[in-house]
Amino acid sequence: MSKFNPEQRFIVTGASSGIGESVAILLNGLGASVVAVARNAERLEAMRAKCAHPENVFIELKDLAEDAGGLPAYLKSLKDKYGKFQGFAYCAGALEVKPLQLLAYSEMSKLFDVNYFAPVMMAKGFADRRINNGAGSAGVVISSIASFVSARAMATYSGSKAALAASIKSAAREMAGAGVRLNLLSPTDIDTPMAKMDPPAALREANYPFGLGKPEDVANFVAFLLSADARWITAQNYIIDCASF
Amino acid sequence: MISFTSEQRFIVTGASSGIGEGVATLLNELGATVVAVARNMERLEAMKAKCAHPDKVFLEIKDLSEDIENLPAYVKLLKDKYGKFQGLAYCAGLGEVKPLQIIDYAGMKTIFDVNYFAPVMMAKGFADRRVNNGKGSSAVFLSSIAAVCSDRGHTSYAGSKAALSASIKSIAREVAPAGLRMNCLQPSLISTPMGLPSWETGEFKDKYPFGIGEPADIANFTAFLLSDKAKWITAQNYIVDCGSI
Repeated sequence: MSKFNPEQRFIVTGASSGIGESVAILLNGLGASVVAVARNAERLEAMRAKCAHPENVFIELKDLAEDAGGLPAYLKSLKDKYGKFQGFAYCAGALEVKPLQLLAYSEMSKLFDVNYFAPVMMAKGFADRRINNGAGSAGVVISSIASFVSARAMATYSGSKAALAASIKSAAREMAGAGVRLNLLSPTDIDTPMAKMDPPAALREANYPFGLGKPEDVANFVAFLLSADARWITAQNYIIDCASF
Repeated sequence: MISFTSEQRFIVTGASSGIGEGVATLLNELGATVVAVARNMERLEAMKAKCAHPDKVFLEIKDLSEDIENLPAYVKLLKDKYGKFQGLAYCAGLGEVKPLQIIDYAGMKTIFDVNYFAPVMMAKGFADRRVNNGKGSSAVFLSSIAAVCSDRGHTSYAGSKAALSASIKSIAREVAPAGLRMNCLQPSLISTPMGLPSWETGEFKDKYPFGIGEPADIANFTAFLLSDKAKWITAQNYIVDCGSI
């Protein structure tokens, strides 16, 4: 696995728990500097305490859903503060399981803000050549198996992740000319706080021949896609589901 | 041969031009009663004038992207006025080709309102058992080939259509026990006022061995999916692209 150096800075959103936390810790462990974005300072500090090189971990409090439209400007401000970025990993997201008859436009809009509009605006901000390191810079956005498979009561969640997959692919084709790469990962149910719901982990285990996925399983793939080892990979949406679908 | 009776009422949105107009005139020609919804009265009247049975065509002026939250109540209102509905064809939509660096959150929301949130809320309204005819009732939503294949400049448009395809699939699984069917069609470029700017450039003309698709090509498929000939078909996304991708 390629190592990174502290001059290679990565923005990781949703860095206070689950997949985002795991990505932040791993990138830092591999030598990179990490700007960790989330809403909760306490949990971000707890994440940093687990890092191999905490001096290269910088914490930013931000509610991405509240300011989706302002994210390109926000990225610019992060760049002014820390320097240009080698990459970003968008791991913030919200889950919703709700039957059709309970769907409301206002709530759907809110879920789309964090799962869809915010990451698209992040990609737009990152594409700015004043912000990224040019050729070889890369972004990874966490989508979901729900972007391929629409289960019952998952109308909004599936919709937001499918929208994300389609838009990021389109954006990736636009950024390819500048040598910047952009990909998505579509994990199935992973053992994270977000996915803690019925049925419990023990029952969910049964779906997966190698057991329930851990955040690290996804983080390893994210680090690969952000590294130079993946230089020929862009505009892809890779399923990571332990053969369950 | 597909035929309907005048007791079979269909809501057709976007009925004043393009595919929606093609669907409204075809369903009416096949014997059905059509409640045609669009924003422009003059164009709706022009559509009605082309109908085989104009006495069975009712016009409703409505901007679907306004007051999306209350679209289920709007569908209920139409039911109170006309009686229960056999089906729904959602053909309203907005096209957009815009580079990543020009799109903004507000503009994306506009596209998502009419291409995604409105049809989902219409599906919710139609699924109400006080509104539809029960078993055999059916809805068709116009998605797009963009949901499957994201071209450059299609960030918002592809995202909105992929979201629609995913959500309608999820919803179709929820309403299946009630005997309701819901499907999406994913046409490529069709000769409509919306598609006109693209195909007039000529660069697409070689992609289609049988020429550019006509609204009638999509309307015929829609009528089939709304009819009892398609009684075993639900939760599908069918590409109609003359083999171009």
